Amino acid sequence: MKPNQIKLILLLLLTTHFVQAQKPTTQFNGYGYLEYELDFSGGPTSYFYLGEHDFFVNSKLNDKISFLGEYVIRFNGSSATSFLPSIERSLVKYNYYKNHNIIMGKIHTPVNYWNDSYHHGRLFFPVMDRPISFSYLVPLHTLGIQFQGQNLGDMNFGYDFVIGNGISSTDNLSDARNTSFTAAVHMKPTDDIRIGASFYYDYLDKNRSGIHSGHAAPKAHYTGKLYTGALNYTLTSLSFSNFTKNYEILNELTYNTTHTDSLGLAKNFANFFYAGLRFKDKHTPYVVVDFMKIAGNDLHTYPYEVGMFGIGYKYEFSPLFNIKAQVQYDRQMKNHANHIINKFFGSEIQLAYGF
Amino acid sequence: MKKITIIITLLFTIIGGDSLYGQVSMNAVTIIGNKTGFSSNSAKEIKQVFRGKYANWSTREQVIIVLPASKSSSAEIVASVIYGNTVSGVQKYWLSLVFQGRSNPPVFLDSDEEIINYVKRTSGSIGVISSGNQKVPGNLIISINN
Repeated sequence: MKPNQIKLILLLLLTTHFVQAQKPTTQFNGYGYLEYELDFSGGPTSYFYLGEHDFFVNSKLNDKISFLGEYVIRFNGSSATSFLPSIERSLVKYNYYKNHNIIMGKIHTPVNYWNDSYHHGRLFFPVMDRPISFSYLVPLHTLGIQFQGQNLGDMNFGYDFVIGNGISSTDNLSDARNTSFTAAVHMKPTDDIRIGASFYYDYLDKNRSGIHSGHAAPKAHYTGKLYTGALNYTLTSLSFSNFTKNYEILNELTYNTTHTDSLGLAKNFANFFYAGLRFKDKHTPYVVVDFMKIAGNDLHTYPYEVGMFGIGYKYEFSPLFNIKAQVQYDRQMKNHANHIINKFFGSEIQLAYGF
Repeated sequence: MKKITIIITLLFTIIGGDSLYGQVSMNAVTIIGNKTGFSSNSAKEIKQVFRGKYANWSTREQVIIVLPASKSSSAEIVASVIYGNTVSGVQKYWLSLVFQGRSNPPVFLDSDEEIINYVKRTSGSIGVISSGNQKVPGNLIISINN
């Protein structure tokens, strides 16, 4: 089928539904956070931090079509106002049959529970921040087309297949010849449990990291010459979550490989574990353990070992306002050859709110 | 060892303090619907509907979920019976589901009368109120097969 024919069919489908259109119903929400950090490493420093503010819109355009947008303003030192906006999600969803949808636009790549659930809403985060792998391994966004099914059968099976711009791309163009591919499945055997697995593949012909590869600078720990040849990138993820009234568990296992002609196959992995004990509906003391190891022959993320252990406490004043306090110990090893290790010890208090 | 046993017992007492949620009978609520394609259903299936499992009914009508808002007198009993949770737990559940982009938001209304009137005039809607309300039209009631 030619591209023009596909466009015509899509246009006809959309037109049919807009002819039957009803008044759109639109809901706006906002999420933001404020932090106080106290860092004891290399002499104590303390400061307040105004975190990203997230404007969320969900609009039902008609019975079959809805729009979702998530627009974030966050600190950026290079901006004249110290803040810059970004479009984090912007998508149109077409519910074509029962619980099956086609989604087009910019999405959070559905590779694991965290990226598929929490997005930029700190209010929903069980801990202070995203897993470490989100700054290095996880391709956070994809701009493309997604085929989604959910709540199928007694086990509430779900699937997500995505074809979209890969790691090297921006939201406007990609100079790579190929697109990335994501296949994810999950099931919810009970109301509280979700088990998921996913596979992501991308071919980076010049090994560039675009805006979809993470919010932090992924190469900050590496000062050597960057590899600019071709690279195959895979990410396999396993997620387990169990959020009940009385306890909460989330584990995100990430296995990443990169393959280059020069250094061969590099195997990297990361694991994030969170456990909280909820009582009296509002209180949740918790522990978090996060670890990532990048192999010595990796030419995309580059060798790195980082681990974090934290204990924290969350108190929910209401579904739209909570406070978290966390004490954590971080250990980083940037260079496998000389085993130089950096250690950090600090604490944070975070107010997260929705409006 | 004795101290550990006491601590564990205390812990389970604290976290189990709200374990009554979810144990209230479905008889405590009345389910009402308009053109949902069924006049009776199992308790399990009804609960799945209210958890956003379905986007459309078998009649191809879109599923519109209508729930009591937090200040409604029915909010607590509905949260307990249908969701096995607290009122704020239900609010969090829906905030999160809508934010994930996996469901359209439900309609929250302040009183049982508003829910009845909304369901009466909205095709494809399904609502839940406290049982015993005399103003519910018989043709809206969905009976629960246990």
